[in-house]
Amino acid sequence: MTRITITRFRKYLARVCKEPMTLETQSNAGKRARGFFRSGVDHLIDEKGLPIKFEAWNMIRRTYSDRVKPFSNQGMPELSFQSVKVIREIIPIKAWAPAKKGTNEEFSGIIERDFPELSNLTDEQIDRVVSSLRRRELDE
Amino acid sequence: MTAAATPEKAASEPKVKVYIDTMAFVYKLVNTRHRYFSQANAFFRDIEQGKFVGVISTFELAEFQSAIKSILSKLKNTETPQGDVDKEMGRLNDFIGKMGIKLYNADVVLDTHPLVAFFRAEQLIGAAKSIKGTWSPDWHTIGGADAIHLVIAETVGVESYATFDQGFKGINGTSIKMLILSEAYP
Repeated sequence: MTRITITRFRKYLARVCKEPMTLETQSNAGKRARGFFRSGVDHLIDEKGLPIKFEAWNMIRRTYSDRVKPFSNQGMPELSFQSVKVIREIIPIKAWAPAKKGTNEEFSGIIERDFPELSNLTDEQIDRVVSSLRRRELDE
Repeated sequence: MTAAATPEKAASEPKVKVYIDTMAFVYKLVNTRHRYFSQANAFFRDIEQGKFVGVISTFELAEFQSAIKSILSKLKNTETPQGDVDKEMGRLNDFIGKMGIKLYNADVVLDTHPLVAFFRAEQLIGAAKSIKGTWSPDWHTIGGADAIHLVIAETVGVESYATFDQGFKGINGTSIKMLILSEAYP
């Protein structure tokens, strides 16, 4: 039971670390996985900078005791890796790039070019639409 | 053509990141006669010239869609066909892409704050001062959507928040500086 869990944890680490697991790192992961049941994973998360949060961690603290053998998951049957919260890295959908020259001029009032009647709208009419998006305080 | 593209590719990202409020896009793209157009235009010119990195989230796209729908309905005094709205959303996407503006997924950004994103928004509203209107007798405080934009802006690590909304002057308790465009670009 424990062996299966440790193997799973090792695979999980390989996935979140996004790096090929060498024999050495596999071995270390295995050791650390055992340490996970003995002491905790905080140091591992800090050291690796993993984008994960163990929601079950408080539960582990509550349920684990010294009477439980360190290499078994006895006493914490409710713990599963499904309870691991994976926090996605914040990567922009569109990354920064230098602007193409002339873009600012090209797009000035571009919607007005599609709908020329827009030039008949007063400032107040447009402001009212903007205000209705959220409450707005606009100066004159 | 190729020669012009090469130095652009080699350019490094400017250090100052500015989160852009939806209204700046409305004033820039909708009507060149509006009193805020020249200020919005000058601000985007600075982005084009690499003075700032423009940053937005998908929350802005939703708000912009709402604004376009309202404006076109007002203009035609009838319901706006979604095709027209989609076309203008395409224009916005082109603009964002060509300006090199960073676009974040608001869902992903808020998901990095499990259980605290809306709490943080509540904190920001609590710390904000109410501002007396300059053209209306009302007092204004930032709303929930404003605060969520600020939480997103904080999370993605911008230095400034660009808006025309005077109500943002009352923001406290955040390191983000408010860039009131009507004052910054007189």
